[in-house]
Amino acid sequence: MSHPYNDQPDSAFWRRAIGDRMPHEIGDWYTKRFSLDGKRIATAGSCFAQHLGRQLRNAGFDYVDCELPPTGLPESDYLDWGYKMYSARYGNVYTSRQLVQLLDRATGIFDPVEDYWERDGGVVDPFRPTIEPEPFGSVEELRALREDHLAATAEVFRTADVLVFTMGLTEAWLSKKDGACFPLCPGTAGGTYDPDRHFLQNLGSADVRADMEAFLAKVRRINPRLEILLTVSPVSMMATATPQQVSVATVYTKSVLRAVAGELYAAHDHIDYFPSYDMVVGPAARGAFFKEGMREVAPEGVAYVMSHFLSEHRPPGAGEAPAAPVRPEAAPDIAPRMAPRQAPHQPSGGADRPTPAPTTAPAAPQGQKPAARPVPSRPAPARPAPARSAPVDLSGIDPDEDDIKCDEELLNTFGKPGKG
Amino acid sequence: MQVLIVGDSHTGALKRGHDLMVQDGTAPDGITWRIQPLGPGKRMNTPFWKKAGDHAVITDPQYGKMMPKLPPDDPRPDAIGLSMPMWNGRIMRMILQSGYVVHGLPGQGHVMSRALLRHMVLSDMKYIMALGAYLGELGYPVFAIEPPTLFRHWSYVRPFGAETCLALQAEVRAIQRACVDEAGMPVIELPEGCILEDGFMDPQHRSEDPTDTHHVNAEFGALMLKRAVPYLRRIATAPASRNAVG
Repeated sequence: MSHPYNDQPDSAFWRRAIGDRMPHEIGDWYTKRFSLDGKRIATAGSCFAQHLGRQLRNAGFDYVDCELPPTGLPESDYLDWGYKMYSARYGNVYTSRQLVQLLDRATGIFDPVEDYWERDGGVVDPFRPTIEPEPFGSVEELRALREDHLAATAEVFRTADVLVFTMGLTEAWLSKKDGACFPLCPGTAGGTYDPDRHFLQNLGSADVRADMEAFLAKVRRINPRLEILLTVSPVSMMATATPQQVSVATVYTKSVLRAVAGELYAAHDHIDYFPSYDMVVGPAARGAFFKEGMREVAPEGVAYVMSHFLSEHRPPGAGEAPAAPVRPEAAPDIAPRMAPRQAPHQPSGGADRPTPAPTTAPAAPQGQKPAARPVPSRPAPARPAPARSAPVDLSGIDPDEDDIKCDEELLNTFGKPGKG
Repeated sequence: MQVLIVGDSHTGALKRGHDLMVQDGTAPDGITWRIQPLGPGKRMNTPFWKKAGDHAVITDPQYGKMMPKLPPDDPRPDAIGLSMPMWNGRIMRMILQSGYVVHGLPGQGHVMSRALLRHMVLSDMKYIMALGAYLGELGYPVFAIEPPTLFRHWSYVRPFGAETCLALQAEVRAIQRACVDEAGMPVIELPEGCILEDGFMDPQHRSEDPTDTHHVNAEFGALMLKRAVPYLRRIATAPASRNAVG
């Protein structure tokens, strides 16, 4: 009997691609839709996008940076002052609404009514309230810097060949006057929250799709060649303003964003989707790539993701031979944080199948037997395993890299004290 | 009284000024000066020294050749003058070359906030200020010697304009001065009248070398040393309070 599954590769079958493999053996995550060779690459998005931008810069890609730091500012201070975060100093762009409005503000289409927030005796820009550690001294100063910044932002959109955009959140804080979308809730990093002037909209998939389609239409009017490489941030929400428990709210948010990313990929040839979210959050990773607290991505997770990215998008000067996206050396002990305890893995054999490297499983609590991992019963796949044993070139990746600027973290200082 | 003056290239004029005082017999009585350049000031915004018990070790290779430890063992100084904290050329060059203009100041370029300027200036002088604080902790009276402001011939004036350079210089110097004051470090200031109405240093104080666009001459160096004498006499006669602001 003939049917479409007969022609599917191993990567299409869960057990062969995922279930029978250790996390570092899993491959075939990503096949590029378009090349980055010789293209100018810009980044924007939620804070996870900072990792991507930095790695692209370090790997030698032609990275767009239209707001370079002044000489003399110590490199260790760049992030504090909003430099080298993204291709201009717009700070984190968490939502699709922010992205389309950033373009509108940069091109002069939109001039929000609420254009400054007071803080600590000065003023901050509501659309990037933490871009500098200190508030501006006057509204005039804020506006002068914003004018300069938006001109640089327009330059980013006009000159980039590829925009890497990381979708982060759906909870958007909006102005009731004109719909202006703020990255943070008024009152958290400046200004005052006023229910008569501000409201929360938890964007649905139709909203996000409409925002992104509007953005695509507008940006390609000023830059017809621009291609978009979408990712979804694997970083969970720091806090939700909805009645939902934060993990429930996070799953909603990420599900919407992941679904819309898939729709956009299906609808537009000039959009690619890189599955960093799927690699880190999906069950194949067994939670191994998160830091303690299960919210932020550990450096080895970033390294793993980027090794797969760079195996498809070879850095300039790296040659044509594809690098194998294997378990990064930066992550010698990929072990699940929340998965059942693992029994020693028993490889099922197969001439072409590499022997899995031993995985250090966390010790089982005293008196508790480790949960056994099912031993694969199916023969090994006929074709070589997706992952290979050749070392991938991680020279552009700093395993200790952990320095990104996430404004959301300040939300942790809010909320009612817990009971008891 | 043993006085050590150490610092950047502006110590050159102070040294020549001292030689001039000796030559013409106007050197103040009772003060023995040692004026020791470390080298050009371009790396004084880096960690060029480290603590070492009762002294600082100069870790920058070039500076260390000139003076490996501060203060030196023999003779131990009774006061240390730093010709370092208030030189504005280093930070000004970096800002101008980057194409930035500070908000509210004249000029063209990308706009930089005043807070960022302040942060950059303070970052630029933090290793110098830490050295001053450390020497103070070791019990040495430490003072700063103000370097000249801009001469019209400064090489950046032509491409960036007099108004831009003077305004930036004044802003940077004001931040530096406030930082030095906050640290309680006395400052030997420039004499009144050395700056003309156009805002530039009087060209009569320019270096004897016509190709030098930002240093003063020996006469002005001697003048600055003489301006330090009242402060030095004061700390010499009041050892118990020699760390106090002069």
